[in-house]
Amino acid sequence: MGIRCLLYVSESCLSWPEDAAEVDDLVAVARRRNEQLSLTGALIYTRTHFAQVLEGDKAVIDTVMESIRADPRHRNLVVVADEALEARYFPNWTMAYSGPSFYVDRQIRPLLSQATDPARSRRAAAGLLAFMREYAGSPGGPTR
Amino acid sequence: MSRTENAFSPAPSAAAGRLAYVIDDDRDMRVSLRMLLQEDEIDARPFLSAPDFLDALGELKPGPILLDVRMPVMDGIALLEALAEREIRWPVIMMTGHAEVPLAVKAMKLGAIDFLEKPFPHAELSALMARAFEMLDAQAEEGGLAEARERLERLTPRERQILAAVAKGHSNKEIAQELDLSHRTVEMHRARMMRRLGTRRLSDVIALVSSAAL
Repeated sequence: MGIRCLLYVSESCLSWPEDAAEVDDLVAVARRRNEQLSLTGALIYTRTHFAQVLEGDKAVIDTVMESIRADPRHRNLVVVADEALEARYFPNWTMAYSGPSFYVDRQIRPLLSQATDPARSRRAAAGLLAFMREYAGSPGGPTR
Repeated sequence: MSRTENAFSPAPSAAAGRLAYVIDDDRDMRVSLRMLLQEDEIDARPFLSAPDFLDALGELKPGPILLDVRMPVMDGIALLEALAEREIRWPVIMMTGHAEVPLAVKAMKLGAIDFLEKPFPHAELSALMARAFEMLDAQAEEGGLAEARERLERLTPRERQILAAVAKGHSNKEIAQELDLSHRTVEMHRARMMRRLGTRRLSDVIALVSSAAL
């Protein structure tokens, strides 16, 4: 059976320093929910942006995305990749990176402006996905 | 020895001697970083290679490290590994032309705080340096605390009792009465306690007790 993989980026509405505790809460809730729904993937938080990759059943991802879109802790959500996969890359769902790194933020930021040309934004999305797989998942290839 | 200073004297002010280490085999890069850092009132100590830096490490005080990824003999990743082995947790900022994903992830997992991709804007370097010095201050505070605790653990229970009374501002005479000891015995315990703590000044003892959060 095929798996769906969705990657989105968004702008954070949280402010420092309360953001650390809010992100902890968010991760605790998401981890439980995603485990129940057999969703795998990873979340990144850079103090200004979020990026999340979700892998799982197509309909389940639709439902979860509906609630994610309505979450007031972020805005300007852009889905940058949505594709079918033979198998999952992530063994579970994790917080891959949470911190102030400019480098990590640079992997996300270009994807938020719609103005960039499609080829460039596809490359940027592939780069971000590779980063998240490398950081949290199994970069070598899909897991069984 | 810098640990002792942390425990007993106020932290040096930010303006006084902020120093960063620049490790890059490219001379132009070392020179331009030195100028950029100078504008932020940070002195740069340059090293031509990772082994040069490791050789000097024993004499260096904690400071942020600006580290080039690609260098002959020993590259930036290898130095990160060497620092991790030595349990050196000074903030490291990696510098490279283009950070390939696996390399960046490896460096960050080894503890690098960020990646500067050349050419980088001065503002980004300044912000990273500010973040690095904040981290060092937090580490120094942690270290000072651990040092103070360690020293207090050398005291005997009786000496600790006397220390607590001294910190409250009680005189030897008052302490003698409280603990039902002779004035002479209190003086003796107190002198030994001060010796064990490695100080002669009462203000240091009080600073030590409060920094150990007793």
